[in-house]
Amino acid sequence: MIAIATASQKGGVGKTTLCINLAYSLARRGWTTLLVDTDPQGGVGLSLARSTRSKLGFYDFLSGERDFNKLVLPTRLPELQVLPCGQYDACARRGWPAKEVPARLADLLRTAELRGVDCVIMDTAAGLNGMSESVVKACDYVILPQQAEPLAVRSVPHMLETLSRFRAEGAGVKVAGILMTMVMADSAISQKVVAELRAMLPADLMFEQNVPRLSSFLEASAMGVPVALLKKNPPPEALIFDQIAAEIEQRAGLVQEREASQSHASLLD
Amino acid sequence: MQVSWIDAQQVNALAESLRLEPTVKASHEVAAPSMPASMNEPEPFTADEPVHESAPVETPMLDFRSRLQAIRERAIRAGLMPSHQPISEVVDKVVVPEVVMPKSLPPLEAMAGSVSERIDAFAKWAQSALDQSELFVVGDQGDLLWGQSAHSGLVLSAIMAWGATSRMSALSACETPSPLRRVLATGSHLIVIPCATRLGVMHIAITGTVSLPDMHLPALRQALIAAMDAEG
Repeated sequence: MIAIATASQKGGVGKTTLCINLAYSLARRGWTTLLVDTDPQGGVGLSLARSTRSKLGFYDFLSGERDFNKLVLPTRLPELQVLPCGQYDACARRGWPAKEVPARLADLLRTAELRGVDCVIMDTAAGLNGMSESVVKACDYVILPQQAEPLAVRSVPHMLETLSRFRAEGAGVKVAGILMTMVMADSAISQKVVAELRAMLPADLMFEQNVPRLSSFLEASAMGVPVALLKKNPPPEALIFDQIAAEIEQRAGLVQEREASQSHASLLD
Repeated sequence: MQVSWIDAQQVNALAESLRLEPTVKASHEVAAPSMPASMNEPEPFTADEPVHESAPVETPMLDFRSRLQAIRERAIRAGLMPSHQPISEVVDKVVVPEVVMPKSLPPLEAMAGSVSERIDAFAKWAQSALDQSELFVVGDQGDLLWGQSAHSGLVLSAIMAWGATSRMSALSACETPSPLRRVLATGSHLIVIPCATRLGVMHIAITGTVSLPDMHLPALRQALIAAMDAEG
């Protein structure tokens, strides 16, 4: 199993949209996927159903709820499950020992692994501190969505520095890549930002696929579905997330992991 | 004009540092506890040197145990393991059965009559050598063919559970299972001897305050097989 967090210093860069659609694409590609919302705002739940506000979830697990089955929501896709944010305020009132958060996060991931999950996608709140820091440190990989506009990308060195510090502090998290989001095809500045970043950074640190700024993402959010479910026949932009899912499979070694676990034992093993 | 205001050199250096493999694994991957050095060393196949008292390994073993205990407690807290009593307590309860030598088995006379008469004759012959013990003969389907006591239900349950387990083993297809020894909840020692007779597998079950030595088991098994083989 691999755990992937999304993280960015800035809010509103499309982390939640990415998480929902990426989790859906990974599940469609056959990976049992658990989408976890660690953002107290509860964006994942709010994007998918009205009823999730009242559901228990991630913060309830942190506060000591042990019955994982009570927390995880099934979806129409058998391979995709969602762990919503849960009752953040109620849990925050009761409080949870900050020292225990890394251990509880590790327990959460181990529980997911025992349930046969191949891939955990964790949406985080903006900023690389507090809970988001703990979540990123607990994961195997982090995807760094960067809005394709000058102010957003100016924080890239700061973000890489922060991740460097996480590693120095003992975190095993690896950078899956920087993903350019909200790229505006009709804006020369937006295009220039993407070009500059690609020219500066090593190719393997950047996802080949960009996520454009499209109205269909807004429509999908309004309907409470991943983009692929917006219409009976998935719109072309749904393929964007399939492409990102394929890149993740390669970068995170998901394919190799499955091949290794499903290979036939040799006669002499 | 550059719009991102990023120092290419600085960001490249940071990117390079992040491309290195992390020295630690992600926190949910439990690192296998390392064995004490003394356990990693392969044991020599032959002892060329005189055997000396080995150096005490108390400190690494204690360290190893405490780490295992910490992992176990975390697994219990996470609900991944049931919180049973510590293994050390269970180990303390292992009972070494007390062995008693029964009187030597008398010669078995040739048997005749119906199946139940022959079982009866076998049981009386065996019982004569097993002073304080109770004897049961049980069919493979759990039918009590001989013997009556307050413990028979417990004995039957033990035999059936064991029989079900044995049948799941590939070995059960080609050989008769070895005798079973257990201490019952009542404190009695139970020994079950499976016998592949002409009429199918039958079990001789013996309970007593002391255990029966292995040397007498083949004779009991052969006697029951002979009794069932006899012409009716």
